[in-house]
This record gives sequence, C-alpha cells and structure tokens, in this order.
Amino acid sequence: MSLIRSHVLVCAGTGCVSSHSQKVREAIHAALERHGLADEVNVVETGCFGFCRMGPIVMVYPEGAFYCQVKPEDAEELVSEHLLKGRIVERLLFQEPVTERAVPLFNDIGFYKKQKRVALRNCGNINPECIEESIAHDGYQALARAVTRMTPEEVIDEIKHSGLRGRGGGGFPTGRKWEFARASQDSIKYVVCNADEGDPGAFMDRSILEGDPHSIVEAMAIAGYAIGAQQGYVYVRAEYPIAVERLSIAIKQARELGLLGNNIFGSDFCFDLGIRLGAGAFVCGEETALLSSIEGHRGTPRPRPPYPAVKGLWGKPTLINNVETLANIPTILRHGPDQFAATGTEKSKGTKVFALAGNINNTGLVEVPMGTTLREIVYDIGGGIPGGKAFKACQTGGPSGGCLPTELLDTPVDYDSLIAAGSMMGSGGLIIMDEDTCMVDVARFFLEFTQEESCGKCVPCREGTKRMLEILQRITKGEGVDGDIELLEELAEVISKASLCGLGQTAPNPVLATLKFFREEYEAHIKQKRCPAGVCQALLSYHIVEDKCKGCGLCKKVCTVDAISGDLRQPHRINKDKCIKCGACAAKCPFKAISR
Amino acid sequence: MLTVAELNAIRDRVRKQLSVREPHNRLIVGVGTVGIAAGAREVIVTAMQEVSTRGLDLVVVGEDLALPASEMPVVKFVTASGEETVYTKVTAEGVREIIQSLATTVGTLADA
Repeated sequence: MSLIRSHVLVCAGTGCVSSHSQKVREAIHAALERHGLADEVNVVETGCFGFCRMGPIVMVYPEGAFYCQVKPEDAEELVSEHLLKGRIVERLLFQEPVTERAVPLFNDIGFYKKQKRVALRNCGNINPECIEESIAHDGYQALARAVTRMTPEEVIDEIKHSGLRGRGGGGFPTGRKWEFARASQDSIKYVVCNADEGDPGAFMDRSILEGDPHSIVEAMAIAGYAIGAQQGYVYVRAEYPIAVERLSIAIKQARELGLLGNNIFGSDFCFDLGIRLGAGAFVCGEETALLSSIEGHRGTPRPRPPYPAVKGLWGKPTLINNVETLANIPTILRHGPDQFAATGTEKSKGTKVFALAGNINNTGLVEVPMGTTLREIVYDIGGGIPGGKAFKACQTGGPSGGCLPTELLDTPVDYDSLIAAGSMMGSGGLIIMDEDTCMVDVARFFLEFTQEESCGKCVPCREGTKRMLEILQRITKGEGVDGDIELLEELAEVISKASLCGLGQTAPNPVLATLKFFREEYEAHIKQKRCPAGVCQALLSYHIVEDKCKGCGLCKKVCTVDAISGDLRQPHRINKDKCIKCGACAAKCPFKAISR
Repeated sequence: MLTVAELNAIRDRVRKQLSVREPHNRLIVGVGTVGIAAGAREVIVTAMQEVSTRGLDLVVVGEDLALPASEMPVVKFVTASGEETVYTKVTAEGVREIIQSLATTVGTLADA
C-alpha cells in the first residue's frame, strides 16, 4: 500500500494551463524531490476548479487549502513550508476583496458558498486522465445499474421524471427526446454529443470535457442503452485540443476495461464511441448542421421536421444532447430522479453551469441551482463590478440572447423567467457590462459575429443580418438617420420568422433586447451624434476645459497629429478637424482638464 | 469485459488511496522546525507505515503545532467531528503504540 499522506491537486484546465500551471506542477515535483518528500506526496493534475481569475490554482489535501495565482517560483515555499513543516502559506491563499482576510478553505470562499456543483462535481477533484479515479468517485455505477437492473423504458422514465431539460440552450425536456429516439424503429441508431460550444465566452462544456470526460462517456453509453443505439460520436470543436486529448484517453481507457465495446457488464448491450472534430464554424453547434458536418458535408442546417430523433445521422434515428445535459445523467440514475428534482424551480429542475465573464470581479465557472437570482450571481458569487463601477446590463444566451438591465437584477435564472424577461438561458454565458459599455456597440458586436458565422443557405439570414449590421455600423460611426430604428425592427421581424435555423432566428435578439431597454442610447447616437457611454470613437470629441488648463503643454507633446495648439501657461486648444480621438492627451493631462 | 463486482472492487480500492481528500479521523504530527529538530520526521514516517500496514481508516498529517520544545515531538489525534487527544514527547516506537490503541476506534478501511 502506498504511504502517500498528502495530495496536491494542480488545475490543468485550459485557463490555468495558459497561465503556466504545467510549469507550476513541474516545479512542485522538483521541490518535492529536493526535500525527499516525493514518496509521501502525490501531485495530481485535475480539471477546472471554476475560479479561473485566480489561476493557476493548487489545492492541498488533507487540509483542503486553496492556493491561488501560484507561480513556479512559489513551489519551493509551498513544499518547504506546507508539505514539510505543515504551515499553510498564507500569502498564497485566497483573500476576500473587501476585508482582505485570507480564506484557507475552498467551501468558505464567497465564490463557492452559494454554488452547488453537480455537473461539475468531479472537476478539480480527480485526475481526468485516470479512469480509476473516476470509478472511485462512482463513475460507471449508473451504467452498471441501467444495463444490469433496468429496462431501457425504465431508464427513460427516470430521466423524464427528473425534469432535466436541455442545457445547450433549447431547454427541451431531455426524457421526451430520448423517448422519441427510442420510438423510432430502426436497427441502426446513433447517439451524438454536441460539444461544439460556439458562444463567445462560454466554456462550461470545455471544463466538463477536460475535468470529467468519463461522465460523458458513461452518459452516452446509458443513452445508447436507452434508445437502442450501438454507436456514438462526440462532436468537439477543434479549438479545444486539451478536451479532445482527455476525451481520447478516456475512451481508450474505457475500452481497455470493457466499459465500451461488446457485452458491457456481461449483457447483450454493445456500444462504442468515436470523436469527430469541428472546424471553426459556429453554425455547426446547430444540431442539423452538426450532423451534416459529421457526414462530411459543409455544415448547413436542414428543415425540420423530420427531427434527428426520426431521421438524423445518415438518415438514421439520432439522439443529440449537449455536454452539460449528459453530465447530469449519471447523477440522476445513481441518486434517483426525485433528488435531482429537489433542486431548482418547478419547471426548471436541477442546477446550471454559467460562465461569468466581462466586467466582473470573479470571472470563472459557477454552478447554481436554477432559480438563483441574477443579483446573487453577480454580487454574492461574482463579487460585484470591478473599480466600484455601476452595473449596466447582463447579456445572457450569447449572440442569441438578450440583455437584462439593472431593474431586472432580481430575475430568477431559469428557462421561463429569462424568456419572459425578453432574453433566454442559452448555453450559460453571462457577460456582465458596466456603465462604460455602449449598448449599441454591444448589439453591433454580436451581430458582426452572427453575420460572419451565417452559413449563407437561406436569404433572410444571409442578406438580413448583413443589412442589419450595416445599419448598426452606420449608427456607431455617427451616420445614423431617422428611420434606422424602425428599419432595424422591421428587418428583425422578418429574419427571426423566416430563417431556416436557430442562428438566423435568434440573430436579431441582441438588437431587439438593447432597443427594448436602451432605446435612448440608439436615439442619442442617431439624433445627437453622441455616444453616452463614450465608447464609439467616431462620436467622441475631446476638448480642453479652459479654466482647468494650466498651459503645461504636456498634451501638445503627446499628440501624434499636432492637433493641439497653445503657448506656455496659456490655455491650450484642440483642433477638432485634426483630432483622431485617440485619448492620449486626456490620459496625460495632470489637471484632468481634457474632457470627452 | 468488466463485471459489476470488478467495477466495485476498483472503486473500493482506489477510494482508499484518495481518502486523504475527504474529512477524516486524522493523526497530526507536529512537524514545524522545533518538531523536526526533536525527531518528528521519524515519527511521521513510522506513523504512515503503521497506519498503512494495519489498513486503518486514519489520515496522517504534518502540521506546525507551534508547541514548546519540551513537549516535542507532539502527536494529536483528531476525530472527524473535532475531538482532540494530545500526546507529548512521542517517539517512533511510541507512535506505533498510540496507533495500536486507536485501531478499534477508527476501524480499518475495509469496514469504511
């Protein structure tokens, strides 16, 4: 038996890896060797802890000390102080922002207190490249129960009872989808996992794949058993190389143990998994475009009906589910549907993983029970807005969603409440925006994205998004005219009603949502040629406030286009025609005499 | 092809190896500089060997207990619920006896 007395878990999710967590791990190894502790301490790579802003993250057990922003140079102190002498290294612990008090334990940190990690249960706790650690955390127990003690119908029944709804954005009841796929009569069926995760800023699925790939392998096998399929594919975007690598290792290890392949657990059930890579197309997150891509065609959607459950991959009945949806399946079958349904609201059961990004203190991944309010997520978990700035809006649902302004901060986050508020859950990206954000520019940004990603198959999306984008670009450049807003609204209606797939149908949403709550910003841009948030460069104008100007000449020196004139100790002036609005003068002025 | 029994066997075996990541009965050995000077390294290594050989459900931890040199090496037994028993001037042989006396209280990993 091993004489290991301590485990050091180093986060190896994409975020921390890009902050050199691999070097941290190597440094810790080296320090352990130097101090003769290599046989007593196990250093393990884990998946994403979620608190990405504080990475690289290192957790030391058995104390459960949570170390943040660890650098390779810190390894010596960590080993010689904590692992050798048992003294927790305070300066590396998380510090509460206001009190600056060090918080040693994971569960006491404000960021984690209100979270309930279900889909993310193993991320950060296990080595994802070791199937035995997954098994030790009850991996494949649900599959064993399903295959040896339940009928496929009973499995589907439990999923239906749990109330689980699709986590990719659609929110369709998962149990019913499985039922449709089972009902289709065909000896060949497929299970597909949608791991394309195209929403900008979203990385929930990536973290699950990197941190707990076996939960997906197990869930897909369970799905195969339930609907009568023998082959599954995970469609992962190519921009997730670590996820692809971990998933490949997981599949290989599962096959080696006989958890994938023939006669699983000695039954008649046979199932295997393959990986298919995406190639940088947002539209391939749309289920029919995704299937088209797996088949080797260009990713363009098809009209539905027929739905994939009836006629999908190569014309066969296909079940497609999102990564996070699947991550919940083993938990439901292990603990029963009632326990799952005990969390959340009446129509939105369970928890949801969100990727908090934008103008917020604690960026990272959070998992909360459905029904938690936006205010709790932004302030209690997210730690509020940096720089003490005011909250302006929160974008939910990415390029397909809408924004929620301050007056809607108490909206519970669940499928139906968000739709009622004019937005949608989407895949879970939550982009927080502060008072210095221009909402017209935000709408333009998202439309630029959807326009570029449009596959071009149908006219309303291909032409419509292009024209909407043109109008928005004109407005942000100060060339908006009367009637632009009405035109945007008219175009939005046509595009959303007539587009072939969800990309086009939801592309106008950011525009409509920002118009609903921030119409006066659009009007200021068009009628007064003014950007209230001070973002749209073309609409900015800098001028020197005469009574504040001391004539020091610093601004004149820093101006690259010689637009400032004035004699020493005389108030200076900016020539508006030459000014390129770079803002260098305002930044340089020691008397804050230059305003926008 | 794995049977359910084999799956459970893997689960139980590896769970023990990972038990250090959960709250547990623990044996804390004072390993601050004062403790180490008094011989705590030998005590902690012996403790780990003893716990391992007997297959006990007990986690051995090193901590800086900041106690006077006259008492070192110090060993503290803390239950999962927080009750503490402190032993002072513990030798390598002494810690073996302590662990032996705790065997029935903590139980083995096989019963866990």
